[in-house]
Amino acid sequence: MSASPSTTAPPAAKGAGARPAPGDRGAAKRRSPISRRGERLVGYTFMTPWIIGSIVFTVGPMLWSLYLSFTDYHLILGGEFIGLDNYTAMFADPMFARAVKVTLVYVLLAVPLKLVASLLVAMLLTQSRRGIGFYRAAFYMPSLIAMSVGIAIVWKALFSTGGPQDQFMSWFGWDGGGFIGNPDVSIIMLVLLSVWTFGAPMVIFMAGLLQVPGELYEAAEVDGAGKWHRFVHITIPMLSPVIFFNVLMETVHAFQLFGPAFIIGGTAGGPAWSTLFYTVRIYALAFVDLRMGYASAWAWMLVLAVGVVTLIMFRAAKNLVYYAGEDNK
Amino acid sequence: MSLDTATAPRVIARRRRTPAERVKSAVWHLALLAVLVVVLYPAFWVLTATIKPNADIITDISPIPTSFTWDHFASAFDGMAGVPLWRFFWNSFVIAALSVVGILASCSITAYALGRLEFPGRKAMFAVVIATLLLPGQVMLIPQYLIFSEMDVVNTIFPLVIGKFLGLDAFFVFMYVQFLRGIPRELDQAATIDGAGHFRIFFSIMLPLLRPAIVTSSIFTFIWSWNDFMGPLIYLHDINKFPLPRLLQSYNNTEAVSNYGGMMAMTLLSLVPVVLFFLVFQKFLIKGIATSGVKG
Amino acid sequence: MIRDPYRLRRRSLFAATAAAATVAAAAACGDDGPAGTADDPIEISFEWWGDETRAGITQEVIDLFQSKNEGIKVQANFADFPTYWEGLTGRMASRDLPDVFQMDYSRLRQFGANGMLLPLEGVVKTDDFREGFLDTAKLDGQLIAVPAAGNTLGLIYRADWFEANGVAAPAAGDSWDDYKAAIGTLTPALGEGKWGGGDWAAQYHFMELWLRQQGGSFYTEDGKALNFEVAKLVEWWGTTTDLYTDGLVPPVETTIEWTEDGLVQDALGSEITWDNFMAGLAPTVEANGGTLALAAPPSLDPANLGLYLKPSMQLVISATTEQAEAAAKFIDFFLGDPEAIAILGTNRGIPATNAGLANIEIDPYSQAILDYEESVSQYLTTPPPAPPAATGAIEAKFLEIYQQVQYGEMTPQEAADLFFTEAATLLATEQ
Repeated sequence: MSASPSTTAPPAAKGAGARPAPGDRGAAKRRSPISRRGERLVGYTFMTPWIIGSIVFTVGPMLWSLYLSFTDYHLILGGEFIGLDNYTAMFADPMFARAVKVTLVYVLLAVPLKLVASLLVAMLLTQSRRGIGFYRAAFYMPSLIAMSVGIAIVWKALFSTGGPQDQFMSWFGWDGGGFIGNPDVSIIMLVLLSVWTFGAPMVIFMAGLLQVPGELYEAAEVDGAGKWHRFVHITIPMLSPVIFFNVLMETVHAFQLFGPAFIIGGTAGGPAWSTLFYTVRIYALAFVDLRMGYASAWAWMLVLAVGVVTLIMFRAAKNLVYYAGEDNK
Repeated sequence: MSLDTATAPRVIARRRRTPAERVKSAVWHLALLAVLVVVLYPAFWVLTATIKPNADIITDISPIPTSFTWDHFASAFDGMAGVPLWRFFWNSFVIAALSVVGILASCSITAYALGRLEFPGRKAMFAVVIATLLLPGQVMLIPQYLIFSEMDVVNTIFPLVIGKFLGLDAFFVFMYVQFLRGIPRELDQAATIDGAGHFRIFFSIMLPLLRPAIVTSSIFTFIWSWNDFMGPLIYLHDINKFPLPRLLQSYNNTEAVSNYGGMMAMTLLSLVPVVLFFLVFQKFLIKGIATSGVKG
Repeated sequence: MIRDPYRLRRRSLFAATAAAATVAAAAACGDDGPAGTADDPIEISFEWWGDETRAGITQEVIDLFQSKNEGIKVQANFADFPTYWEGLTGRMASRDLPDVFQMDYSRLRQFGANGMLLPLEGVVKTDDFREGFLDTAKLDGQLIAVPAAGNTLGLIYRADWFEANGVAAPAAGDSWDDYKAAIGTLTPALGEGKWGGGDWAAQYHFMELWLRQQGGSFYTEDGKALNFEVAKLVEWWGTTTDLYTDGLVPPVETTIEWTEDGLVQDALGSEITWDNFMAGLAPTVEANGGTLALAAPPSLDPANLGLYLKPSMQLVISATTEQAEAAAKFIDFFLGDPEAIAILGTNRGIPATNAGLANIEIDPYSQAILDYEESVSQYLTTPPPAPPAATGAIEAKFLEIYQQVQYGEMTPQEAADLFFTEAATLLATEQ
């Protein structure tokens, strides 16, 4: 792959159908007007699927659902404009309070636990020892299957009364039975499932860790810094862009958990609404109760919440994230 | 391997591993394996559940079953409601294959346009792509359903795959953009000077160089499509169109009640392709995540 | 590296995309009408709710139908009751309902009033139904369903356990307090992991029974609102509180994980439930060495048991079916063919047709059901009108909210208040 412009025609220009050569060899300008127009044309042509798709299936629906959120549209009975009634109803709706609580608890538990786990394992796996490739693959594997329906079904069995979790915890005096029947702790099932997918952020952490220059650690060691000190003052700051990325993506995804929550808790978020996730409730409202106007309001509330959280994170990142090679605090 | 002095000391160092170091290594391996066993316990559990008799599955936590049965696999192959298991595999495969082709075709050209070409509105479009990465999909769910309902394509796989052909998967567009950034601009320039237009540049130069991205995106698309549940839940109603996740859910609510072993066998079989894919292509996967995540 | 393969790649890329698009397009288009012969059969879809036993016998009947009607192919599907309805509601809008499907009285208005069901007068045979059954299949005077079978509430109990522990067998006219006393004696005598009865306050049908015993009803005549006060609901949800605290009925933490009925698991001594379940439960119990018997449920008023003959389930045809004739043929076969009737037995209830009654194999369990219905026939009164369209959702909410009480997360008063708010919202949205 030679990087130098050559005077011999590269193989790319061989063959029929080549565009008429616009540029002069050795022309001072990098792009001629014809080429620029051509570039624009190609650009739009290549973007055509996306443009169509975005209008019809992304931006269009977004605007439509915003409109729907101000109506009482019912899938069969139709609907009409009702202003902010959906939003006021939401705040009086006990199911809303419940769904928000369940989802928030999940996000606040699952995301930190998952990231801590993935960082720890990533640090363990960034050494070059024999067989490290095997370990990396093995630890990554669960994240591929964890969010599948099959594993969610398995999870229900693992956490049923008399099952592995129950028996294991009984040795330590647990008498609450299987998590699946116990509304006080049932959310832990889903938190653990989320932690089980630590593989993906782990790999990203690994890549980030490998980019930390070794000299920093050596210099610190020479200066007498201990392991913990090196971790806090070198590893974490150097990793902060990666940490930020992972925290952001994991949080955004955690708010949208659907599949496993649906399989484990059903549309009623059982037992006793303890696993009633926000997205599951949206599904139930839209496709079971057919109250699509109301469900749209719920969906937009989720957009707002995620938007706010994202903004806060970006704001915090300005102060907390250290980009090597830039001016920092 | 070159025999320069840079490698020589390393070779010598390895030969001088002290017993202490070897013990340390063994301990490290054991500890890691112990953690691994705990982490992979659910996977072991499924394996043993498929061969234990129904009564033992939940209550017997020992990894070594006291009695065997192959019946569960037999009932798994029977599928559900008269539709055999291979049919559901085929449905899953068709959806996944279409998704792979669609993503590859549409996300690559979208990424090329956004990442490599200049045209008015490019920055705005790119911003929209980034925004969709962080956007909860539920907000588009209902209108999309209504649109597909109007188009009369509910209960077909059209709604499930059309998005893949229109470059709407921001994650993969992003991934391709990142991979494209790794290709030197001089190549474009050389080709332009030699008379190649952008189409030519894309198909002749970029695509072949994007092979790692293509492989990575295809693997991820296949796996995610294979596991996708919400789409089929909403759009597919005919049991003989169900992909595997739908089958599993349906079976779980009905026959699994009395035939839990069959349920487990079905689950295991449905996960086999994913795990197999992974084992064959793991290097790509891990590298792919690392590249798309860290750069930028 | 950069050679002619790029051409192949591009070509194969386009080819693949084109092929994919064609497949997708083909999947999206429907096919032209089939000829209805063995080589080009008409396809109809049939869906029902039920367990594996019902699925097995239903599939047998389907196979029988297909063998007698070579030009028609039936695609079957089934699910458990909640999932079944969750799946169907969404399909109403996309007009994508199965050609033939099982209907429940509580959902008749939701589907029928929205034009989802084909009027069946003149489409299916209606001359052979037993007295009074067809009334519950009409909505606003139009016949939109056909009853498949009927049932009524009853009390199924372990006769052997009652006898062994000296507890008088339940009988028509017993009061709720009598029943509670029986459970109170039975549970301690049965030992660990067994209870004399289950918590009945979760099912809205049983509350309806209780209300009817007081001369009331669950919904108003016009089907637009609840026909009782909050205080009544608090009372109902408090009827089992003492049994609960005394551990005389299984706690919700246990029952929520039950995948099978408590009677079959040898965990319950009695249960208020639909009489036709006897046919499904008794064989297993018998195989495990027990005996099941059927009696009338307890009542507040010995003269008014609150019972009515309800269509246990109905069959309907989707209004948007393209194969109305084949669908009707299937229904006629299902309800009228002697062989089919014999296979289906009383799994769905006592057959609604005279031919059905004549042709079922009267095994001891079916006989028990028939005897029971005979014994309470004097008590059967007019069924309530088809409940409002929101009933399905209300029924689900009833259960969910009571679960909060069972888990101790809410008091009956709080729960009742919540139920009324939710019910009001649901009723309003479906109007």
